[in-house]
Amino acid sequence: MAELHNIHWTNDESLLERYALGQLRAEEVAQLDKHLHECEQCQNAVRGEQDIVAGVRRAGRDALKRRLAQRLEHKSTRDVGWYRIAGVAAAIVFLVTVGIYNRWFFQSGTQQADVLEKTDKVVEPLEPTPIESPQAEKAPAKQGMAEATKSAAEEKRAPGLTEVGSGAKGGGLDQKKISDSEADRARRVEFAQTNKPERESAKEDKLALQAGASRADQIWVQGTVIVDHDERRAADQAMPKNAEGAKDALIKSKREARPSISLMGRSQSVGGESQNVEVSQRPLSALPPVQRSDRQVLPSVQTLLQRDANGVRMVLYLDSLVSKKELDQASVQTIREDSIILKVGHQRIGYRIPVDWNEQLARRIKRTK
Amino acid sequence: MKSSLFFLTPDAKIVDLIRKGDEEALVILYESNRKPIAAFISRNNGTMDDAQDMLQESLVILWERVRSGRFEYKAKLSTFIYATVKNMWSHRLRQRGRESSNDLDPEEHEDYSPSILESLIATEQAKMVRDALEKIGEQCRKLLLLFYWEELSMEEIASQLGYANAETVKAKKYQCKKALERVLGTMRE
Repeated sequence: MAELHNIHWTNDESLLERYALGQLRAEEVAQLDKHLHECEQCQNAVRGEQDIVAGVRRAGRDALKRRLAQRLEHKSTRDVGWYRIAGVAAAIVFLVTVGIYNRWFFQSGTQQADVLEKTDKVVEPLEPTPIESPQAEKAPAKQGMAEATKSAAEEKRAPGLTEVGSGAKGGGLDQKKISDSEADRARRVEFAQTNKPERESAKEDKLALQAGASRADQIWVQGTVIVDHDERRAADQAMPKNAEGAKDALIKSKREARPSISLMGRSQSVGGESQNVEVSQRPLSALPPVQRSDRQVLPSVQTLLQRDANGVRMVLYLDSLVSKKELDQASVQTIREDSIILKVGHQRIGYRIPVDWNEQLARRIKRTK
Repeated sequence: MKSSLFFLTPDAKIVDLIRKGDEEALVILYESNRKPIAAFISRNNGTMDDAQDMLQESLVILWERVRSGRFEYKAKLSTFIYATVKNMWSHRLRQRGRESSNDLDPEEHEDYSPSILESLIATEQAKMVRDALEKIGEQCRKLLLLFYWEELSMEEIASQLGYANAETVKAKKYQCKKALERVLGTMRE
């Protein structure tokens, strides 16, 4: 290296590159610099080589910075994406949870309310004590009534006035067996109707079903519609044939709404004058399935008799619409202790009912003005 | 045994990644030094963009030092980066004519900055060479970058670019360099 300061050492490409890259030792650089101070040609060569080195390094740095910036940008974008996905997923989970909770809460709350309401309806106490009405004072002697009841029970039932439906029949039937079977039937029907939307009428049906099983507060009866020209025949069917005079009096009393006339030979009517009762109507489709009997003969009216402290109510299941006025002015006339005729508008419907019901019907009628 | 212990530290792992050419190491260093560098630059009349630029420059310099074998692990990498940023920012502020704060105490300054290289980078000639590199082809550009920027040996370049041997790389380098000089001559005319 001692002789380099006198020659154009820049002709050595490798030496020039190492000088420009700073890869020479200090003493080597010093020796070469001595010549550079004196040689313009070598100065230009060195300057050129240093420009290439600087330019290439600048290009390398810029490219590396660009790649680094791209990596950092991609990393930040990837992180945001994950956060966004996690946020969206969390929001979806939250909404689904709220929806499930609301549905469960409100459904269970509704069901609970229904259960409570039904329970309240079921356990609603009814006054067992019969209401004393002035009508009772006018009733025939009790002793006579008892004898008439007994005799009526022994007589053959007349056609036309069909038997009472489920529940209480005569005093001589085994009500316990009937009530058990009716209870089972009522429960099956109630189970089938569980999913139906609750309406006020449906609630009444449930109560009716339960009542139809064994309760003495209400009974199902099947009435026969009596047309005008059958009026006499209905009267004939309701009475023995040897009571002609009583029959005429009966017809007259029905028309004039005067107190019923006691029938000779069969029973003694209970109750006095025809009184209004609370009558309501339901469509035939609302009739509980257990009451839809095949032996139902048209024209007949399935009717629910209900009684409580306030009086007696009759619920008629009819497809033909009866006006409210007619329902409000409906009246019941007792033909005998186990037979009544309900007058609703222009229609008259005859029923066979239990004797005790008829007594209470006569006593506990709701007076309407 | 000492080298294996050396590799246990996070800095050692990062240096090893840089030697292998893994640029993900720079991303790691950037994330770990972003906040202190941003705080320093903002305290000394700088913006977030200035902080980002200074940090990237310091990481590039670290890359060069490690790749060329001129890096000596005397302190933590965060210390090297912080010192490099301080020096560069001081130089830039002087160029911009701004006054620096007391944080740039010359007595605390450690000379980690490139010497001759730093002055040449700012020249217009360097920019011209950079533009000429884009015109000589991808293979020549890579070769010259590996030789002049990363200062790899001929054997290492042959291995990385797929050449047969060091002599082949030497001959190819001569051709690429001449091509670059021709482009530079055309650009200067």
